[in-house]
Amino acid sequence: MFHAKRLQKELSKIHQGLPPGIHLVAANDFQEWQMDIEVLDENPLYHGKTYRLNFKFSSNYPIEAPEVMFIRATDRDIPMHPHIYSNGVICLDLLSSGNGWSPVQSVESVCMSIQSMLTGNTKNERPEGDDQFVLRTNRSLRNIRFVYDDPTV
Amino acid sequence: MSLDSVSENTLDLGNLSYLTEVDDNLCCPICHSPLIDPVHTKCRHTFCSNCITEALETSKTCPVDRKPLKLEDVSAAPIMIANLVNDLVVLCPNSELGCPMTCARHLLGGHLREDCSFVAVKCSGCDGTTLRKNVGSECLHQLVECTFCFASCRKLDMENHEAECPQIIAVCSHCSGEFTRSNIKAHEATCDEAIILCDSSDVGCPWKGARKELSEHTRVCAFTLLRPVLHAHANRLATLELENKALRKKIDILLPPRPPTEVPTPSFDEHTIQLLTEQEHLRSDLERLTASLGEMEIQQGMLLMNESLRMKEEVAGLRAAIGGIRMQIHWLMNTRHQSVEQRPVGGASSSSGPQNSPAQGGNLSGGGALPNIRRMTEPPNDRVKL
Repeated sequence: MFHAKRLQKELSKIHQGLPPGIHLVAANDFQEWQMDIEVLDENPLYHGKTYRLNFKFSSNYPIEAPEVMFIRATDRDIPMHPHIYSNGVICLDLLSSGNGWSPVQSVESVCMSIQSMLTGNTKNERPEGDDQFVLRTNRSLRNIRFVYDDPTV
Repeated sequence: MSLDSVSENTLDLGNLSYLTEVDDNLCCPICHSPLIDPVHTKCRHTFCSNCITEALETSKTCPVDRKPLKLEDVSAAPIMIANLVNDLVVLCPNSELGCPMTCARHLLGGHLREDCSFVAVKCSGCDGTTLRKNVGSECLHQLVECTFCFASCRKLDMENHEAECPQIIAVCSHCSGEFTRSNIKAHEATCDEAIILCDSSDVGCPWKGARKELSEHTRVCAFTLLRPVLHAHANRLATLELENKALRKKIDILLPPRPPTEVPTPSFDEHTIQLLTEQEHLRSDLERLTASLGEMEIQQGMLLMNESLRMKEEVAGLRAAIGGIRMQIHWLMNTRHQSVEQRPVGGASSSSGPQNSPAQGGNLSGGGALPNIRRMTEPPNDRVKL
């Protein structure tokens, strides 16, 4: 109930307007939303492309972080980034409860963080051990423990 | 009742509707709602007391600036902040049941406890609960008998029951007669005033009218008269169609497969099409050429006409010149003849010429002028000769 009320507020704020390059795709319930993000500057890695983020909210949101990952769809691919696995999993401390997540964050602020994480990237590569990681994780994101060792993102 | 009445004990301040837009600064950064029971941290951020307590269970940092934070570092916010949020005007949580009350948030408890007519309270007549507005009147939980169907139900539910009681009187929409609700369907199927279609509407009769006029219409309805014939035709058509289908199937079986005969036709067609298009091209070429030829003819004609006109004009001009010259010559010859004739008679006649020349020198000069004029007229003369 608590998370629904909070998401309701976020949704009405989203309908009033979003920062450039961020669009709401679907918010049919208070469990899963989809957002589209574009990188707005001339970064050749992401220029002219749009990526889709899937948000999964637990009933404890916003105390608990939402599960956020990139998903594939028509015309939507997983962006190349040294902290984004090819199955869409994002290694970002902001998205981990108990680490970087704070209940002050919102869907909009998470989108902006990921947008700027893409903007600042220059490496056209996947994280180390991407293949094994993709094989090992079958979407049970909650069990993934990342070591956040890169202060540049 | 689908909506639950809210009482003072079940009041949830987080679930209120605010009458006006609330300033973001008065909202908790965690729940994004106006602060409830505001508290602040040692780093001077303000939250709802429930929100920060929950957040600190997960992470021992301030949600806004991530500085380490313990529950002991959280204390009640200044009274001014509490007053600001408590004075926000809200709708009564029972507004959906019909309560029109709006008041400051901190007065809501008192309103629910004392005034709100839509709070569930103990019924005065029995052990049940009823809305406060119904207290004082008789107990709504006692059973009463429906005056139409004689079933008994609680007074409270009477309104709902009356909406669906089968024995209640309903009015036929066609004849305005009164029937019980359970019989109205049966009545409408036989009502004399009901608008119905002709029995033969399936074969195309467009008639539409009250049921009582149907028998009269049926007597004169052409469709009803023709009905047997039409039906016979329809049946025959159906059998023929069936037969046709069967025959077609047979043909399909008997005929050799088509593809081999069809293969050459497309190529033939292609050839023909090619030839036809070529012919079409040639025809358009021919048309174009004819058109340009006609144009050229006209141009040529125009040129020729212009040229001959010019020539004609020139010839006319020359003819005129020749005429003039002839006249001059004629005149000169005449004067010459005259002077030749006059000379032997006597040059003394000083008034010889009509030109009253003062002296012979004038004659001389006249004689001298003659060759001159001749010379001038020589070239045209030559040309004419040519």
